[in-house]
Amino acid sequence: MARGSGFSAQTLLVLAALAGAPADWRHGYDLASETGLKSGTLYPILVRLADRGLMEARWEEGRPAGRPPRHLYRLSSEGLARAQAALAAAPATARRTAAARPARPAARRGLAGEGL
Amino acid sequence: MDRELDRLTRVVDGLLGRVAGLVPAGRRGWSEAVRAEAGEVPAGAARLGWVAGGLWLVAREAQMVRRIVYGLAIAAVAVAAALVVRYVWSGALAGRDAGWDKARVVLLVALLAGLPWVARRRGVFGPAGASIAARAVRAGGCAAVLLLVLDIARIEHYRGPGWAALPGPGWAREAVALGLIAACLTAVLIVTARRPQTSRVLVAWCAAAAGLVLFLAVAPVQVLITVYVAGILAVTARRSPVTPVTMAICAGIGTAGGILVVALWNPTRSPVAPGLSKRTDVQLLLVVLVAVIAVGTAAAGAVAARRARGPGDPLALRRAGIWQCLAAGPLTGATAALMLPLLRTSAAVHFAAACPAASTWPCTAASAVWMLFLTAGPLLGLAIGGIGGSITAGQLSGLPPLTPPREPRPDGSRSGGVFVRNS
Repeated sequence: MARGSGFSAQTLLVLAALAGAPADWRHGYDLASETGLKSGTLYPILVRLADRGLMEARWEEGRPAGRPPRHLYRLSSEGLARAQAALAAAPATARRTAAARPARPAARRGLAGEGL
Repeated sequence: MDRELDRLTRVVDGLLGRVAGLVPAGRRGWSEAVRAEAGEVPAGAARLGWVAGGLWLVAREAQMVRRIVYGLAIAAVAVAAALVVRYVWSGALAGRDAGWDKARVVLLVALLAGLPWVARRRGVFGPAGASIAARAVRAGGCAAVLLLVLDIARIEHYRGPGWAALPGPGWAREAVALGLIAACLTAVLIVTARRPQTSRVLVAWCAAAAGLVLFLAVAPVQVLITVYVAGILAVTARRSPVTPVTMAICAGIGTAGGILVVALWNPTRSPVAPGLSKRTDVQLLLVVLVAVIAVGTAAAGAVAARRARGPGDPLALRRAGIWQCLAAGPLTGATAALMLPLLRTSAAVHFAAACPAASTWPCTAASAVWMLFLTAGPLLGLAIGGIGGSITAGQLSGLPPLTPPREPRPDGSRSGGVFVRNS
């Protein structure tokens, strides 16, 4: 538990994933794959982060072929600062857990390159 | 198997789409976000788990668990109130005070039903804190009080006319007390009408205190129970200064101490009065109660003091430590005191049912001891908490002031607390 930062270990995982590429817009399944969190854990965390103004959320623009538009997320400037501070202050075990997350495949990288 | 999983996934996905309407309009997008991504998830158990997680999200966002718990709590209170009224009205109550006893029951039900309503209207207590400790203490405390009220009503139900009456004022004194209550409330109305500049909050508190004291003369058990419920609601409220750790410590030690007091009170079961011993060493029980409160206060104070050594405003931290001690005493005392009637009333009910016409003392004596403990527990706790708070204040005042870290010493300088540059 990362009590000092005020974030749970799972929230730190999400923050670490989002802070890894702060300019990129990420979607839920992408984050779930990277953090290993289930949707029932991941989405409440995303809701709280958005409520506190630490994360920006928006819907994918346009109408992608063959699938519905995704909900996209990235850290706000305040969220990025808080995430970096929390990750720096987190116990070594939490940092190791965050660092040991599976590497993202290139296709699942953020959507910054897609002009979103 | 895969086909069944896919079918189940579609069912859960459809359900998710339907229940999304339970979530406030501005937040429905989150459940839509889960559904939008379901196609990305590999089919089978993984996709089923994904959409099931969406259901959990909706349940959280719609506060369904809280709604269900509140609904169950309201139903429990309603059922308990109905049972209490039924017990008292169909019981063996007779004699001069039977009418007053029934009136007291009506008063208790009205107080317990009205308290949360008044609290919500005035914003005095508010919802329970977010911590597990706050919710557990609120739920457990209210359930304990509810059981206690039911057991008291059952004693009234079985208590025959031959039973010794509980010590208390007669109807004439109670009528005088009621007149005083009315006079007090009238005086408050007159004062506020003639002096509009008088602080309304101050007047309200004075009226409440006076009313409470006067009500104690008329219906002591009912007022005590109401005060306990109000205390539980206040301590566990979101705005309460009592931390979850203090709550958990005090509830745990108070419960254990209360069980210890009960065990000491009745080491052997008497064949005459099952569950009630012939001799009650009240003094010994009070000493144990004081020890339990002291342990609870010391533990909560020690934890608060340890936490106060972290970074932050030292004055605010010291104040927080004192608050925890002040709250820990009454909380531990009240918890321990509540255990006594809670664990012993069933035995008294059993005895009352077995010997409805007995004019012996056990239930009367038991009620007197409960009243003593229910009153003395929080009061002793307040005194011990005050002592603990002053000790904590003394300990924390000895802490070194929290200053920013000292800048690194220049090369070649000497120690001794003074920077000395080697020139």
